[in-house]
Amino acid sequence: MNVETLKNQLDLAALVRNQRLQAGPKGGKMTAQTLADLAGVGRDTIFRIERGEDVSFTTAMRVLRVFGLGLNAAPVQWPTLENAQHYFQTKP
Amino acid sequence: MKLPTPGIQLPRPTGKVALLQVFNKGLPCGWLGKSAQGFWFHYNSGANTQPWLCLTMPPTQNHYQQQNLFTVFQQHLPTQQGCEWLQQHMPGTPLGELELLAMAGANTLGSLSFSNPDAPMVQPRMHTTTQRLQQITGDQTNTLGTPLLQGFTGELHSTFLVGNQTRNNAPNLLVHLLQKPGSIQELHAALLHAKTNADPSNKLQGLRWASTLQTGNAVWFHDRPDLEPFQQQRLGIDHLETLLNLNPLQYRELLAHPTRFRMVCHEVIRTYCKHAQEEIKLLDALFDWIVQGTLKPCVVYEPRPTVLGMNYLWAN
Repeated sequence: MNVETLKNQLDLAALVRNQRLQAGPKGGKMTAQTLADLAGVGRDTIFRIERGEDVSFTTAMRVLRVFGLGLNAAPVQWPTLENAQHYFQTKP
Repeated sequence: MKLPTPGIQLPRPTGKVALLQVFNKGLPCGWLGKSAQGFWFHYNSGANTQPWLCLTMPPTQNHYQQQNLFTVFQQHLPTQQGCEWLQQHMPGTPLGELELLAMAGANTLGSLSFSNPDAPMVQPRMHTTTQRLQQITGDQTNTLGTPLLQGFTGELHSTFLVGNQTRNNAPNLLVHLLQKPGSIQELHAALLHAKTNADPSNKLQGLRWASTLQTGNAVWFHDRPDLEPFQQQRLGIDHLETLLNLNPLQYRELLAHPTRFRMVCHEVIRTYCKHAQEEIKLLDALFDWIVQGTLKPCVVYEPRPTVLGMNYLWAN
């Protein structure tokens, strides 16, 4: 199973967006309104998540559950000399 | 180039420096050396609980080696212009990276200081009262204090460390000798306005120094940005270049792409800072000055390490 590490709101934003783009009929896009209805949150909340803004933990979990995802805690190291440029994506 | 501040007494290295002892918060931390393969840094001990040299070089690894000088040490060097000025005024003196760091000694911002074990230099600490600071004019700077190597040949100002007699012996004020006082006053007002708007309760470390600023005749002085206010302990300061492991040229290239640079800054804040949303708000308010190179973002931390937040220093 492919485990993705979420370090911050931006990672959550990318995950939700990617999942939504392939969760629709025939592997296509699911609309934000559909996702909002399934999660029981407002459509604006979905867009807030996808913009990387703060939402409550409960809200984030509701949205992830729509995709059958949960959270798994793992240690995350600070970047070191060797991987700092890659970690912060300083190069295009 | 015109000599900006006559009368400044800088320590002069006696010869080529092969090895430097590095101190963190005044205690021996490790050794910095130069070999044919480049630079190396070695922690004194292998204890993981000792203070970190910087956030990207934890003591979990005892020995570091790379071709160029580690960015955490580069941040204490003067600008290229400053190096040229020094070389002009000290002809025949070898002024490589290690010699410049030895000259800086304990007059650095942040918790690191340096000593040449073969020729240790001791400088008397100067004390200047607040009244005296306010009276000082440009031609009296030789009585001001100890020049901070990094800032003493900047275009806009020269920077000194001085102690205030009302406190303990450690230098606790950062004093800027202004070359263009008018323009700096306007900039300071704008910075303070941005800080007040983005952080009205003064919760963040960023630009706290600006709120303690006092101006004299030709000087501008405020609390040191790297001094813990109650214990007077020196805090670690890692410039953004250090955190990203970029040399000055690479950093300037990144600055030339503001959208990418903003994303990188936000990611740094999300990685290290507790109050990420507020920090991002302050950074965005100061972003234009950062991109122009007027302010340098850095992360301030207790060297154990516990990150206290972002700060923004006056760039040279």
